[in-house]
Amino acid sequence: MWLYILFLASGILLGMYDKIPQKIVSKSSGFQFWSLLIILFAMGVGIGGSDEITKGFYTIGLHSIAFAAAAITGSLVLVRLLRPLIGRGRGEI
Amino acid sequence: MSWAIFVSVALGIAAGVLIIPESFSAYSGTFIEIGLWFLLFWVGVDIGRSRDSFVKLRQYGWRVLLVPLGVAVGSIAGTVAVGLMLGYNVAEAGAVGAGFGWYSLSGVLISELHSIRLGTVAFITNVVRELIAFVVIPLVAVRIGHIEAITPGGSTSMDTTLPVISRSTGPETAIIAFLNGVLLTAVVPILVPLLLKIPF
Repeated sequence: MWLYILFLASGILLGMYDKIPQKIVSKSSGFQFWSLLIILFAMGVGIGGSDEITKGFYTIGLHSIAFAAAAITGSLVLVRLLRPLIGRGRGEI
Repeated sequence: MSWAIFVSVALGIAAGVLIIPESFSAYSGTFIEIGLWFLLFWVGVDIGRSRDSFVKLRQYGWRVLLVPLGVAVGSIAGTVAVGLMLGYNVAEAGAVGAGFGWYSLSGVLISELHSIRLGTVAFITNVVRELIAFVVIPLVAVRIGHIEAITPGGSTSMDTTLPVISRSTGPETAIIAFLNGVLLTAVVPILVPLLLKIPF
C-alpha cells in the first residue's frame, strides 16, 4: 500500500517543482492511457478466469447498482447538510 | 477514452475465458501492481502540475473543502450502510465507495489489494455512478442546488461530468467542481488501501 502512496507522492512533488523535462511530461496522458489499458486488460483476464465472478455476475451487477445509488445519495445528503457552512456569505456558489 | 477502457476489460475477460491459462492469474497480480506504480506516478505528476487549482483553492478559502469532504464521507457512509445489508464488511463496502466514480483505478486497486470479485464490484459500481450522475446532475441543479449538483459525479467532476455541471449551474460552480474532482482524485489511491486495512 505504501508503495502506491510513495509513487503518487513522488509524482506530485516532481510535477509541482517541474523536475521532469517538458518533453517527457507532454507524454503523460499517453503513458496513463496505455498503462491503464494494459492493467485493465490484466484485470479482465482475472475476471474471465474466475468462475466465482462469471457465475455470479448478475448478483455483482445488482450489488453495484445499489452501491452506486447509495454513494450518490450519501454524498448528496451530506453536502446538503453542510451547505449553510459552505455558502455562508458567498451567495449561490 | 471510455470506449477504450470497456474494450480493454472486455478483451481481457474474453481472453481469460477462452485463451489464457489459469496459471497466468498467478502473475497477473504482479503485473497489475507494477502497472499501478507507473500509472499512479503519472497521475501524481498531473496533480502536481495543476498549480492553478491550488491557487484557486486558496482564493475560495477553506469552506470549499467541505464539498469534497462531504462527497467523500457521504459516499463511504452510503456504501457502508448498503454494504452491511448486502453482507459486505465495513472495509469492503467503504473501499468500493472510496472509488468516488474513478472506476478504472478503484477497480484495479481493489482487485490487487483484496480480490478480483470486490474489484469487479468496485469497477461496475463506479461506472454506474458516472452514468447516474449524467442523468441526475441537471435535476439536482434545478431542484436542490448548484453546489449539490457537484456531488453525484464524485471525482469525475473534474473531467467527464464537468461539462454537464457547468451547463447546469455556472462557471463559478464549475471551478469548485473541478477542485472537488482534483482533491477526490488525489485521495482515492490513499483512501482505498487504508479502508481495506479496517479489520471489520
